[in-house]
Amino acid sequence: LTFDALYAERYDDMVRVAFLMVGDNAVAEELVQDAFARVHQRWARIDNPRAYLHVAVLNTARNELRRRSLRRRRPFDPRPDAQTDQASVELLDALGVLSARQRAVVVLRFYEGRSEAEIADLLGVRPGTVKSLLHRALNRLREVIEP
Amino acid sequence: VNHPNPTPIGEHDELHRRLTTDLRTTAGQAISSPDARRRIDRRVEAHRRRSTVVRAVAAVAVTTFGATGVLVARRHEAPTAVQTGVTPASVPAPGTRPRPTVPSDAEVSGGFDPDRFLPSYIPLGYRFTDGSLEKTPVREPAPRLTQVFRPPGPLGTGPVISLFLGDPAVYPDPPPDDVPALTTGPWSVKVKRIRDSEWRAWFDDGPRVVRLWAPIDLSEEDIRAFVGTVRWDAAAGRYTAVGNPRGLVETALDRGRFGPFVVVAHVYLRRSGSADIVIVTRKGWPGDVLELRARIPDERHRPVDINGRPGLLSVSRFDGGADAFVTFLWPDGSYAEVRSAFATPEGMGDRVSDDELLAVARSLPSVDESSWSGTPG
Repeated sequence: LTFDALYAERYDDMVRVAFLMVGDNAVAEELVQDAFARVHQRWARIDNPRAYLHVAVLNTARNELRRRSLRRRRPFDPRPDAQTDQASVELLDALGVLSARQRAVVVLRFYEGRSEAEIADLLGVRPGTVKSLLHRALNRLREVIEP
Repeated sequence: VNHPNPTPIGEHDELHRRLTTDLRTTAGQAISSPDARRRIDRRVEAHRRRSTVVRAVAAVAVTTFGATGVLVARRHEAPTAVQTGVTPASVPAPGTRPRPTVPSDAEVSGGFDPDRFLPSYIPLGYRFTDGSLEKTPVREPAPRLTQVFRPPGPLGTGPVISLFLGDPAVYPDPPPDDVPALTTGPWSVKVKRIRDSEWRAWFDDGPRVVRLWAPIDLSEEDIRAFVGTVRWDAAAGRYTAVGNPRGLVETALDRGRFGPFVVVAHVYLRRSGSADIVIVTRKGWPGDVLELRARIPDERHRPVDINGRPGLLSVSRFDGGADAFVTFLWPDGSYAEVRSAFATPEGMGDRVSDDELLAVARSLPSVDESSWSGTPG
């Protein structure tokens, strides 16, 4: 696997994941580019570039949300583009009620279709924590989406 | 995990269905820029440049003492805050050496990531080399002394000569055969120019080798005249200069001011003569800056905002550009500085742009006195 191949294979996917995390296309791209730059820097030392990239994107997205939170802004402040349809705008708004970790779990579970064990691996937590985060996230989303 | 109201997650759950389909629809509306690949390359280049500068600043060979040392940015609180941050390979005498400590994550904001930050504090006994913190080899302290001779009168009115006393273990080279000895009274000394502003002197009264830094416009005759006046004062444990040839010699020592610290002054004189910086160092730990004693901001100071604090910025270059550092001066008198090389054979400062120095300086977390873990020796 070359860096260019990884870029061709994963860039768009990673932007989508980051977009679901931060709700802003431009910021999502920034985060993913930064993650790719970090992968490039450590390329010789990384055993599994795909996994490393994935974790890097998730972590940078979570850090971005944390930074926004520290700036006392609404952490998740979706800025969908004009072409984003109404249902997606509503969904992004709904995701805004979740914590960064809950949002990561929901995206990994429902967008990427990953198992709880895989999610636990990516986020560096125990499977029980994933189960708990997912449960609370769905309950919260249910309140917003299905009032 | 036992949840009081478990909600099934399955194919028949409406929320599950919506998430599965709508998340994909939503994600599919994210658009990638056509020039994303190029922008990644730019980021890689930016990372590389920052990393290069960090290493240039951090992993500096302090050739004076044959050691790999570091001189990193530090925050100085006016007027007499004790600062640290340098790890010369040779250390103070046993029993007086501060216990090395590795900074915790809390001390090094954001973790120890050399790609992003220089550590604000490098504990004594450690050095920052090639992106990692490693313990320095411990050896017996080399006898040495740093003294600065400058002309009397206001700072900035004349040339400055710095003396560094090394030991033969650090300066293994014997006196050169092709240099005639200069005999002055009981002394015999050989002086040789190593490079533009650096001279080395071999005294015949013991295994001492002296390194001299001087303004590059001093002639060999000036240096010889100066060296000829220097005497070793065993009782005082220091060199003294006898006479005052050409107005060069005047000690700038200020002993005892810091109580248990034996203080010597290390004076850097900006060549333009428009600003002076006096840096007080601790004896035995050259480069370990305790205080910046005098500063005269000049027109090259410009207003900046560092971590939300307005202040003045100065990029200073010494020694023909081989040595450079950035200082930030705040209205309350505190300041921080970032230095590049402390002088290497090749010089380093001239390969680091002002903006690169600034970028490193801006990435540094602030340092406070709590990071000082040493015990005054």
